[in-house]
Amino acid sequence: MASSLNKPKLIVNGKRIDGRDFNELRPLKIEAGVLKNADGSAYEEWGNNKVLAAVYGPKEAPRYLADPEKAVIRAKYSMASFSGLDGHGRSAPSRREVEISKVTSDVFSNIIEVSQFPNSVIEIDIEILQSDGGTRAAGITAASVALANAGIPMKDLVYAVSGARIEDKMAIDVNMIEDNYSDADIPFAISPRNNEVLLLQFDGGVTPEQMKEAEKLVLEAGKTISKIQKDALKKSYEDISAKYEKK
Amino acid sequence: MRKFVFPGEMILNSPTGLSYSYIENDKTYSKVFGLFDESSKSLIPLKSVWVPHIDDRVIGTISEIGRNGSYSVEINPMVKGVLLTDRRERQKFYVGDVIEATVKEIEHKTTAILERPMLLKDGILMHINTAKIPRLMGKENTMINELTTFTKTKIAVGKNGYVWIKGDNAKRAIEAVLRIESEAHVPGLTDRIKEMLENEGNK
Repeated sequence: MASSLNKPKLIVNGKRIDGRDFNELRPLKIEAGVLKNADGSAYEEWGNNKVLAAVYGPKEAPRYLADPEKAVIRAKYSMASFSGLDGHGRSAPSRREVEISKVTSDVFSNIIEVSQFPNSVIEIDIEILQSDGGTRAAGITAASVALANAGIPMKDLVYAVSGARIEDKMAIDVNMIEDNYSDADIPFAISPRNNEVLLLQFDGGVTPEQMKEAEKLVLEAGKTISKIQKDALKKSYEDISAKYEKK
Repeated sequence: MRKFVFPGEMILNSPTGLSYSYIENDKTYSKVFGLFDESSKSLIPLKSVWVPHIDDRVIGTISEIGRNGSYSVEINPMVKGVLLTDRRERQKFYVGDVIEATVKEIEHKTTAILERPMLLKDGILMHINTAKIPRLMGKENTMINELTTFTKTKIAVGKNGYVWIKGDNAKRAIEAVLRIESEAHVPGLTDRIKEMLENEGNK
């Protein structure tokens, strides 16, 4: 967390710094199938975040990586050098990028039917083109759409969003300033069919009650996110259907 | 009535062994983004990953020639194709040749042993979404037969998504194949393709 010396006021007149309510998501827009050469892809704009996710595979795994029992999921999260965070994307993957790549791979290893594709690898590339807080959640949400767009069999359409504590209030979907100065930051990834938690990271401090409240806010907002993900997948197919229904 | 279904969506209240689905707590869920028809209980993915089955007819490119008369055939990024021939035989194929062959055996789910190879000379090779291959063939091959008759081209279709087309009218055949790929989910496909081919034939 950043220094609290010049901490900005995060709550103004009972609203958050960007005028949102505590349970309000930033505007979310997803488009599926934007890259022709990838097996599946998605472009996402979540507030000021701009994320491109691409899926390749399943394809033959390199010998050192291959698992004869199941497919290996290899996610790569990276921030473009122009994404807005100083010092990101200017050299080899940073500690932070390696960490996020690992947790993202773990999320999807639990949800993709890996046993159907032994000795193969499924690559998920997540590129943050512009960042404004909560990019790991944005990356997972976009990658999930890209995987469904690639036709990879999986148990669920995962979404992710961050919960947070701002002073004594619980909130969701933090932006960059809130991310840096909030009192707790808790990204969640959820499998919506049974609300199973696939990723839970935690930075800061909350009481058990506050944690429960964060989860409640996340699950509530998840309904909106899931719907946007599904609409994105349907869009191109519905457009073609609509062309013929008019006639 | 067909509707869109998504991974993790419950499609049936009872455990049913449908393809592209899984069973959890005695209920059936979809594994893919696809179309589900409740009355016929069929789940059709809109995009799929090809998994080899014995007797699948596939199209591939010779990528390597082994010493003992075997050939490596590129059929899929995940599945390696291997074609074994009698070593006393004369070399039949060269690197870069496109062949059509049948899957005879599958080893470790990642290697497909091929048999009955046929050289596809010249022509154009294209790749489409493997979920649409059954639509391109049509019921009892009606769609593909219509395509070849109308465009007077030779067309070979591999289950692995490759389509090989040869003939003077190849361009029209390619257009039709791409249209089938993008419009297969809209009812009335056969009529539309027929109309398209007939209209162009009169020009």
